[in-house]
Amino acid sequence: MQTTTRIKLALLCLASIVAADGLEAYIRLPKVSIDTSNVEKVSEGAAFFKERCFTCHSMKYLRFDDVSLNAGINPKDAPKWSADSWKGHPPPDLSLVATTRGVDWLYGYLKGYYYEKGSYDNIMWQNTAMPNPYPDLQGKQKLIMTPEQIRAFHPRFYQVVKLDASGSISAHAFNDKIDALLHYLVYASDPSVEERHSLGPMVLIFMITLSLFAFLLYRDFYRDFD
Amino acid sequence: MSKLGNWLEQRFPVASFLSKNLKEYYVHSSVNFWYAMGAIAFVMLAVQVISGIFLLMYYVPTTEQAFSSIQYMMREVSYGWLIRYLHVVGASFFFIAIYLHMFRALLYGSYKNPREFLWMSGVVIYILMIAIAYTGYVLPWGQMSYWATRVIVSFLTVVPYVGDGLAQWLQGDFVVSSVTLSRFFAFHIVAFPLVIFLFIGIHIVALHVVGSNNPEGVTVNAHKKPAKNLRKKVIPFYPYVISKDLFVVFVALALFLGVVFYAPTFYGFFLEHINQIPANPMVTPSHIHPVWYLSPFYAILRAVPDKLLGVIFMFLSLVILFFLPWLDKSPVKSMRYKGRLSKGSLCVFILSVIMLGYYGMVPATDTHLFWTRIFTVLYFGHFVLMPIYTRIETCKQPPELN
Repeated sequence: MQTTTRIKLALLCLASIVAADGLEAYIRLPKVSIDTSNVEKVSEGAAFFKERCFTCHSMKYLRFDDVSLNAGINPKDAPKWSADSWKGHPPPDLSLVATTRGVDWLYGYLKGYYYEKGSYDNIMWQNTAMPNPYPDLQGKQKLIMTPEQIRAFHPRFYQVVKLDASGSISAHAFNDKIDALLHYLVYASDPSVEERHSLGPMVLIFMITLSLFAFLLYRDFYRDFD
Repeated sequence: MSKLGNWLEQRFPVASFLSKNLKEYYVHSSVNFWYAMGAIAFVMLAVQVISGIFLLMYYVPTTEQAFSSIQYMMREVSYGWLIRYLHVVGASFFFIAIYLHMFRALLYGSYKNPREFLWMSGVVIYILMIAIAYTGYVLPWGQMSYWATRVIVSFLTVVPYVGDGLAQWLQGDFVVSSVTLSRFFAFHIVAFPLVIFLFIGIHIVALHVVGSNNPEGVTVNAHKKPAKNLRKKVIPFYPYVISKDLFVVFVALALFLGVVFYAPTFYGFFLEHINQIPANPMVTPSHIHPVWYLSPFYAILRAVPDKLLGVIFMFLSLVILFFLPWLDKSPVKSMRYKGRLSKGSLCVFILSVIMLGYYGMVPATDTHLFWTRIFTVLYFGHFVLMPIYTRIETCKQPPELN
């Protein structure tokens, strides 16, 4: 390859990188696995949601959901915002956020607040309208890579931010809370999981048995031509 | 036959009708599992109709309530989630069955003389399915529902002189609105299904006139009882072929229900994540694309730099299917006896459909567009060059029925 072509290619790569907006595209997020059959965890998350999120965010599609109602998340008590509140960015409803955003992104976002120059920003969504909901619990994180480094190295999530001053609970306990919250959000986005997974095996066993008998029938008929 | 049966038979000869079309309908014994795809499609249609009726009981076709009525149904109606997922996954499985069914026709030359009409009626069904799938996709009124409607209605605006008027006429408003939703709802649940039922009837009648094709491409008289020496080669549809169809249908249903119960959104392929956001005319999604089964056509649309030409090529990619029976000049039907050129071209064609499907779903970067154009050329090349390569290649001699 000629040197000029190489330079052109390098420039092209660089241009495409600079053109892309936001840092979140360059951060490798951990794969979060959520088991919504863990009812305790889901309820714990619901309680945390009620405490820290429900002041601003509604859960409007969970009208008759026991887990939510027991935690005090009742759509009747949900905050109401007009379209122009919060400078035109009213806090969205979160019933389906785990589907639309994906749980990995949510993990990054919920743990992504860092402190810089006297205010908080989020590594997964720069200049997010949402203020940090739990600086007292989490403590202060700081950014340990520059945006240029993030773009260049595609770091893992934990390589980007670091806890600088601890909050009122340990980092471990805070992790647990976020994990529980994610459980609740995933549960809320599709409450049918429990019913699907309890009914699923019976349906599939029935279908496989039926297929087996149909196969035997088919074999039996075609024996006429052997 | 019982007295009542006799009485009915003289007035409404259902028994002899069934007997004539099942027991005394003969096919070649080489028909294999590819021939069960039509049966799967038929069952999926039934699933769509039945789940659709239940959906209708709870769905509200207004822009204010469409999205939330579906969410409430999935959460608060007993087995509402099941009904909805059956319909959503059913649409994708319907298309999977139809694509395999069409591939079978390409593989064994089922469109060739005397089955041209049968093939063309099938293409009409396929186009109607696209129309039903698209109008149905609009109904949940999510972000992609809304923006896909904007894109598709904008196809009409490329028509010279009357384009804008046509678009307004179709959407019933100056913008895509509640009026548009109501009429697409009417198309989806009444107009298109009625027409598709009609054409499925035509398709089956046409099939029973000319008889089923087979992988060996031998001609079989579907309505004549075979001579004694042919009884192992020419077999009645009932009970033999239907037992095979039944088995394949059950396996397909097991797979279908597996997806419904364990991966109903199929990782965002069958139910796109972005469509779980209610429609918002103020926020354009960063990247608009159709569901997987329409993706190849969208890729072709984007491959052509000019909008009008893009729309024309997109429609041509469907319309060209009608001419297939006359483009194929090969003396033999089945790929088993066609030459290397036909086999190679079919492989390239399938590859290009899959790749176009992929490129229709990813953002249109320069590299993607380059490859989309290559595969668009290959897609059309398969058809345009067919009269040439089917003429010049050497085919194997197909067997005679004896």
